[in-house]
Amino acid sequence: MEEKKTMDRRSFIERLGGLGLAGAAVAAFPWVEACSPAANKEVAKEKARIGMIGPGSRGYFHLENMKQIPQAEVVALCDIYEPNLQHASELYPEAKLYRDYRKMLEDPNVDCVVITTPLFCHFQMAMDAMDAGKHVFCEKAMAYNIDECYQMYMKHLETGKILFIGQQRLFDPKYLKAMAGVLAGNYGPVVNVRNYWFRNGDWRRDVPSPELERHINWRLYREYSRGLMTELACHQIQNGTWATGMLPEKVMGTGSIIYWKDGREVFDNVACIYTFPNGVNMTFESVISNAHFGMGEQILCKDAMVDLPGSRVYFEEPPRKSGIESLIAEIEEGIFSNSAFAGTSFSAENGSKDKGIAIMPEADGDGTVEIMEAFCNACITGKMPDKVLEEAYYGSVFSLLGDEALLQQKTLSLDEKYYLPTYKGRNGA
Amino acid sequence: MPEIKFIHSTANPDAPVAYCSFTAMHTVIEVLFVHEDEQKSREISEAVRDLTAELENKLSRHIASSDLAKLNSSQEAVEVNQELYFSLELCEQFRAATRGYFDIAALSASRHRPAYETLPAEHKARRCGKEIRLDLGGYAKGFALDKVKNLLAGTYGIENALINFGNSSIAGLGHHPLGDCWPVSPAKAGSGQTFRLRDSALSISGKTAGVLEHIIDPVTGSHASKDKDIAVQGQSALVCEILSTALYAAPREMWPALLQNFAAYKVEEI
Ligand SMILES: NC(=O)c1ccc[n+]([C@@H]2O[C@H](COP(=O)([O-])OP(=O)(O)OC[C@H]3O[C@@H](n4cnc5c(N)ncnc54)[C@H](O)[C@@H]3O)[C@@H](O)[C@H]2O)c1
Repeated sequence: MEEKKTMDRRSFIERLGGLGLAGAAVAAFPWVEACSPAANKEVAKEKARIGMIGPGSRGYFHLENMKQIPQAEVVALCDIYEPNLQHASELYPEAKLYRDYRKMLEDPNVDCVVITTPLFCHFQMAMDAMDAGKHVFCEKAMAYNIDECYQMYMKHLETGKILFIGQQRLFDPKYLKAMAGVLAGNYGPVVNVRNYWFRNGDWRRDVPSPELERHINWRLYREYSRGLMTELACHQIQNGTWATGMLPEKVMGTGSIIYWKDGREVFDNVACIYTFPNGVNMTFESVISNAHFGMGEQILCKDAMVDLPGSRVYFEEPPRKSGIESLIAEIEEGIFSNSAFAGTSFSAENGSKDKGIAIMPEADGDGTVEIMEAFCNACITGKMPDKVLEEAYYGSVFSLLGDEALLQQKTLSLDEKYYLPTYKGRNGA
Repeated sequence: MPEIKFIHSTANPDAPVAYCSFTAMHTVIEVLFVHEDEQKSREISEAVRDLTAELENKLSRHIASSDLAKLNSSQEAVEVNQELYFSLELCEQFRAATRGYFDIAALSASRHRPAYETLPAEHKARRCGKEIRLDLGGYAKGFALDKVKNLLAGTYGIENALINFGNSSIAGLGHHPLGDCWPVSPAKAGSGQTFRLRDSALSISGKTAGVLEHIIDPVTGSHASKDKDIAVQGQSALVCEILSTALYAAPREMWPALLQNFAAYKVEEI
């Protein structure tokens, strides 16, 4: 299994350096260089010595992935919940254990911290870590409110410490490949962005004893979480700013608790509309009491619809292609994929519904390993990859603004002062 | 001559790609190949079309002037072209090798076998009874596909090409320009298989949606019917075609006996 994953990662890097992402596209994703073959070579045999704060569900997943990243060395673990700390310690018995993250920040063996605690903890932990001279990988959403996100960004500039936010789609080969096509204008101008995430479940985790309810189910309480907007929307909102290169001018929306009336405080259904300066709308809808539509991230362009998680593009006027003709477009785009056309004799009347064409069907994984690898490389070289933090910042900030709009029942715009000095998007362009 | 749809693209400079398609043998024929310039590619496409059309004329029973149509309507021995003569000989061999389940006389009202005889000295053939009707439908595509493959590789030195005869007979020469083979999957929803064609061919037999069963069990004379389609992969497109037709016609319990003679061919139900 491990062997296979390593191979997949190698081919990911090859693909990025190779056919798929030439010229303008690489300029659009400068951060992928942080896990290029050159970057890996530069850090060969060196280690990023990692301390993790909050090895819960996401944290443990990262810890498992780090086993495949040669430049990652887990030296310390910190949690205030003993079962999770012990569980993680079984994976890394040699790692030093802490119950107070401030103590861990004093540990000179720790070069960088990975923060996988609940949302409300992110800000203080990340700020303290950078002040203590540590590089930081912090899970999404970046922080609990917009001002905290901004302060974290400025702290990164001020201290020169690496700061990554766990927006793994930025390193997902499927997304990179699709976005390259969108940004190159292959599908015509972007006219709409549709995001949705539908599930059917109460979003609760089992609680071993009642006093742990808020600690374990932190997602459901406003004090710790902003609900669907920070837990789900921020990945998808970031796609919209990424695909358009613009920042939304305003957002409106509505949310409520329609089904899971179990004492939770965050909405169980939300609908938001973001509008970009050129009038393009981006929607985010989420309902957790009907899963029919599942998860979708769709970039609607004048000539085609790009399905990001499905990694397919559907042209508006699909040329009537039989059999292997669609291979032409794939070879043009540098894609190697299965052609699904074999069957009993073809008769011209059996015109099938457009199944779209695959963008990168062989891609495995979702960028989680790659983003961590890029982070380790950046910690070792001390070089912050270009624009990756800015993309992530706006993803978080506009999700938080969306939640504000839901709460205030108003159409809101981002205060000018939160536009980053370094990157304001290609607004209006 | 059927008209050719021709496309040549250099959008990917590492893999200039040529594509042609045309209608022949009652289906759509497509060829995709790489690394040739536009003019050469056009020339190759025309040569493929010409070769296929020529073989169709020689082997079809639907063209009134064809040798096979004449043979089907004459009580006497009929002089036949080289390709047809050779094919008739070969088909008799394959009938034996498939225990009677590959049978170009399956459509006949008569169960009399052998259904025809070849007369080498005169280069003629004769039906053994006026009820015999010979049809090379389950043979011609595979036969032509192998010939097209040889034309591309032999005459034109093409290393990488994918040839598709109506989605049911496919051959991969070399590999996809970005991979190590030509991966082909069934169009049927839910079939997870991928056939990795690399200097090999694939043939699929089964029922076509909305079309009456067209494969006959020659032993019983009834329409063969199976829940699944049969895919055969191997070196020769012709053998794949013959074997997939025979396996579809044959009852399951006959399969081991049939397959004995084709150890190098891979069979899957899809
Ligand atoms: N990028 C993604 O796709 C993705 C997926 C899932 C979760 N996440 C993010 O990861 C973060 C964690 O989510 P989770 O599902 O793993 O939550 P979790 O509750 O499973 O884990 C959080 C851990 O932090 C620990 N913790 C809480 N306060 C702490 C403190 N003061 N000091 C040390 N440890 C403390 C908890 O005990 C727990 O072990 C969230 O920000 C979430 O949004 C991201």
